[in-house]
Amino acid sequence: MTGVLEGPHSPEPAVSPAAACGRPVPVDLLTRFAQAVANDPSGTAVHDHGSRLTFAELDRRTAETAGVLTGLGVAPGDRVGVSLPRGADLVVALLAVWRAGAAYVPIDPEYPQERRHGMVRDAGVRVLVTAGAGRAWPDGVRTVEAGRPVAAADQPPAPPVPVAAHTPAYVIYTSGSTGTPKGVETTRGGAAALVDGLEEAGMYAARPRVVAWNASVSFDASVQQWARVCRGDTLVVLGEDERTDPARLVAALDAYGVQDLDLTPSHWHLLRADLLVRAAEGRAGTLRLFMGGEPVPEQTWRELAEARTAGRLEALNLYGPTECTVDATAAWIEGGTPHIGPALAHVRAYVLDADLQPVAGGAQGELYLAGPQVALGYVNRPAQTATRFVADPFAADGTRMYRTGDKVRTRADGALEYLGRIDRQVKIRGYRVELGEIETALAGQPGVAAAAVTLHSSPVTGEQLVAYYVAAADAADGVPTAETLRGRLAGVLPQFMLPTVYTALDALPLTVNGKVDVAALPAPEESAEPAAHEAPDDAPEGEAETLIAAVWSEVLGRERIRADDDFFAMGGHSLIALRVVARIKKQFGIAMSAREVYRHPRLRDLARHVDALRAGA
Amino acid sequence: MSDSLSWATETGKPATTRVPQFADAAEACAWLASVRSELRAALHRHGALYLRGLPVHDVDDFAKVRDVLIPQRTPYREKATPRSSYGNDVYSSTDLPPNQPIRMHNENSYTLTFPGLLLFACLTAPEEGGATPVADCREVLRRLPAGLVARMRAAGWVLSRTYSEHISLDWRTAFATESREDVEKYCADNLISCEWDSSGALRTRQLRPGIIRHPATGEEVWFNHMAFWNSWSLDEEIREALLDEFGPDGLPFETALGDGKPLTGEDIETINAAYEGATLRRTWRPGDVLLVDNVLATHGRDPFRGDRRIVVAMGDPVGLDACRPTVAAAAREEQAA
Repeated sequence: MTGVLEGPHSPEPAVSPAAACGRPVPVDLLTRFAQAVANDPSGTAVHDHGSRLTFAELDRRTAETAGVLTGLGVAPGDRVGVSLPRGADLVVALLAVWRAGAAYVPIDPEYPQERRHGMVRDAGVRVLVTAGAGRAWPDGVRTVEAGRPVAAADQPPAPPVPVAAHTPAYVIYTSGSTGTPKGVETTRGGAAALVDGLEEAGMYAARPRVVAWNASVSFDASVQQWARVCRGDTLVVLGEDERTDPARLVAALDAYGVQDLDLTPSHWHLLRADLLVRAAEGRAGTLRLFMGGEPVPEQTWRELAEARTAGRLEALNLYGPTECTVDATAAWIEGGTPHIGPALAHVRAYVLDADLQPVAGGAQGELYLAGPQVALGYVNRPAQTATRFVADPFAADGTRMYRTGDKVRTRADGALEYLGRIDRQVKIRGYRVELGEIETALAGQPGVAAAAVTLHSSPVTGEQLVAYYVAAADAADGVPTAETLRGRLAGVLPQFMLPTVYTALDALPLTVNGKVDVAALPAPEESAEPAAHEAPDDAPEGEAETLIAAVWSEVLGRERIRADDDFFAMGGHSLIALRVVARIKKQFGIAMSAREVYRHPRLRDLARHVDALRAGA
Repeated sequence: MSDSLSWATETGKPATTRVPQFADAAEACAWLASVRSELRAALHRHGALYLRGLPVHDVDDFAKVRDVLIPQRTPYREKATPRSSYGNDVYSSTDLPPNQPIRMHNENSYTLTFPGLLLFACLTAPEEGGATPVADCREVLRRLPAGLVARMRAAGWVLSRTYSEHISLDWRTAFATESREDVEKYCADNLISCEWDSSGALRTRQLRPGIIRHPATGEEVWFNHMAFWNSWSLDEEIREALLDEFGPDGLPFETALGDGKPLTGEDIETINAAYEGATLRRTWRPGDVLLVDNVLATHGRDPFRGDRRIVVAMGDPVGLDACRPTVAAAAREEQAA
């Protein structure tokens, strides 16, 4: 559809650092938003399920909310908390924060209170946009209710506050190796460079597109989705159920004519059958997939490349750390074997050895990234900022480069191949997790002397975080149980960082260098001999959870089912849904529809729903 | 005809030959081409053939072998089970959960054209179970009681499907379209009656012959999905849950004999027992290839544990007309009570 305008898709735009310098400085995204509003005021900016927001309306609401923020004293350099679910109100809030000249700090309303408050305090948030009551915030934080109609007389709409390229755009918290999350602060210039770079590569089409917004605003993948409204693209807000249920996703894509969709490779695995069928039909134009968040496995690469050759799908592989504003390199998925492509137009990529010397062509090295997309650093963590953001000896102009911790090599055609992590950061279900952060949190619990956490993967249980701990010699209440530890960790870590298995050891095995010898830790299955205190963790509790878990286990043939397992991630199938419905009817005498199983994909949520039905029956 | 292939026919196992050792798929393909007519004759005799020891390691190798054995491919249509496409018209055999067995069936017995040949290959063998059992449909027919056979011969069988949003496939996925007109046209072209209910669900009914003759050998076979999709084949728990949720007329799948007289649980048990009695199976090893004549033999899937990657391709389309059906295929309107 847009192919003619974009010209041929070159897999390797071959942008050298020199060429990047020749590209004009990208235009700030708010300026571009104003252009988009002027170009098509009645066009659709956001589809949020039933409701539709035009560019003119979005502009008006943004100006109103910005007026409220400015009235509360928000100014450039400030950080404004935003704690809202995905939706039209969230877009208004994010744009309004920028319009007031400030940076937004997304705070997932679902995070434990301790983590939310920690982020507010760490980022120095004084003003926070949220959905009204329901969540407690630290004293002294002023909350602004999103979507509340603002009387024009109260606060005049604010004109956009002009900002410099180095003005902060947002602070996104990532898992930190020292035990506390770190806030990465990026710039408006960086966000503008990201969009411009993807446009230059032809990956963001020249004409406005219809874009699905499925990423949590707490993760920076959301920026390459929601911020596209600034270039005149239409956002389609996808709910959690649409994100994970293939049939619903396809229905939403069709209903709104979505052209661009972000996915992680794991997510693709769940959706591929449905998307390929839809693509084979070719009825809705060619869908462009923006794959990112984890390496694309070879099998997936081949499949997507074939789909592309057949003209069914177009897929991109995007790579980048949060510290370099979302995407640093990008490749069209076609031909050969997986790679992450060359650097985007405003990014300089260096492959260096331990002495910061470029490695010989084709050799492995650590990837360093430089250019305007490099973040300002970690909020309130000058030491860590200094370690990871180092002077760029190649630019020699005082700018810095970011040390990614990723191992890569440069291929003959200039594309980079991703070879894994240098340090101990892992990805689990698409989330980036520093094992060290979990270890620190675990070791900080009363009665625990030392802790180690590994990522273990097996065909039976899938990928899981496994915790090992050594009890403190003077533990007053004896060795803490797995249950106790999990409960305590759940108060300080988000769900996706909670280990599922806890094993008590007399001592952690160490290497000659005195580091934990990860390879010598017992595999979770081998650490059997279940002592009384080693109850399997996150085990389903209560009648409803136990019943549902038994059905899942039986139908899927998996031994370990956890209370936070997800119906769709487990390969959710109508047979399981029906079996659950049947058992619940038999056991509790409740008539429930299979539909309700789909609506509550997490085991624990479904159990709560069943309990609510029982209470009401 | 040369006699370069020898077929082991152990009790309970499909006819199997161990192929010579080949350096690669290309070499194997050249050999397969040279024994093609011999394979075809053996296939007519046995209904299904197991080739052990071919250098089939990935989808590409499989596609090469497929191109020799099934020159004319068919895509998967009127989708009834979740499958993944590996591209190049190669599909995963099924994406249903591993510990669910899949009953015996002839692929697409309910469409007017169906694949004459199926080709399966094992890329990853499961730790346990997971065979692709086959049954000779001439044998199945011999094992069925005369009364049931006579009813089928006289009246055929009716498949009713309800495509709703949550259970099995919805119509958009099954028909790969968003347009109701497309569905209606497909149904009209393919002798299927269709109607939309107030919730937007699609109901279809089709009458098909259940006993046909092989187009080349002329032998009579039991060829249908009647037991496969009959609600009596479901386990009691699932059957009840489905009836609770959808009612007897709204089940995702239901079958009946074309004479409109009820089928009992015992009837379905008898049919399933006939399949069971004729079933042959062999444990998959990587590189194994199974060639099935879809008219002469049914196939299914045993439950399994561990990683399993069986790929399948279909081809050599056969028109129902070429099979001398005892009853003409037809759309079937809602039966008067």
